[in-house]
Amino acid sequence: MGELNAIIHQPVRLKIMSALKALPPGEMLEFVRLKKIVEATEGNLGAHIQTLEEASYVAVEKDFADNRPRTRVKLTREGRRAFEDYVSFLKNILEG
Amino acid sequence: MDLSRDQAAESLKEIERTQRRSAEANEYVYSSPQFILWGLIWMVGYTGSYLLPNYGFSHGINWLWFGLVVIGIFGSHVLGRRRIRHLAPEAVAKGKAISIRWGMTMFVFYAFIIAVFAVIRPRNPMVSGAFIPLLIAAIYSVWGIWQGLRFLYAGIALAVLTLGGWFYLYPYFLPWMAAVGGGSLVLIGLWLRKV
Repeated sequence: MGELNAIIHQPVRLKIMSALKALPPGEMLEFVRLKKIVEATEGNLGAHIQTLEEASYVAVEKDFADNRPRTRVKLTREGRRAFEDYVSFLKNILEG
Repeated sequence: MDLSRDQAAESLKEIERTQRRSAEANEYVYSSPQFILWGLIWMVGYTGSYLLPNYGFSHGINWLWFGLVVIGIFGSHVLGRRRIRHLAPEAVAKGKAISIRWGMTMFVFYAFIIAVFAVIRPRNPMVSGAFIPLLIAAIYSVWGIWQGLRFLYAGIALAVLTLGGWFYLYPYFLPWMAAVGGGSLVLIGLWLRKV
């Protein structure tokens, strides 16, 4: 059995990764919508996204849509794999 | 760091909860403008059918609805393509293929309805004005069972309003469906947007 991924295991980051994993591959989630799903404050969410981005688990894209600044987040291939490994790790514990 | 079985179980539950919320919210957000578009089409269609009975639910081709459905399918396709803007560049091609499949699905759906009425040929042409909303209500309900309870509630509401209008307000069925049927679709669309 592998080791617990401490980056993903943090509660807010776990929600971020779960929310992004639920989307079809390649689909990005707007920061404001992610904030509602995760139920985190803007600053808190931003800090955790940065941690995940530094681990190459998520990618952040900033652009303009309808003349408004827009920040979008998506799961990277590494992030998807790390999350799947994390879920397998949890299931292994349950199966004993 | 060691993790107990209870902690692992709780983390898995949290993952499942968040994934369900995220997937449902995603469906609601993209479905919202579709509900509003079709609600407006129903309002125009049923009002027009009431005021211009020869072009609405009549024997022969329902030109009013034919035109509205063409506008609706085109509008739905345009709204569907907006979703592609949320895709990462590497997923755009797949998104476009899905958008085309949805357009084809709607085309098949309306071809099916036309074929059914060509075979059944109801004596009362108003039957099609009730059948189509009931069919759509059933589709929303089934969709809701799998993709999010709000769609199920929308389907039930639509079926109840349609049957209520048919059995208790038959002389005013068309304006009823314009105001309450179309209006409820618009309200459902706005409700989904609030998620």
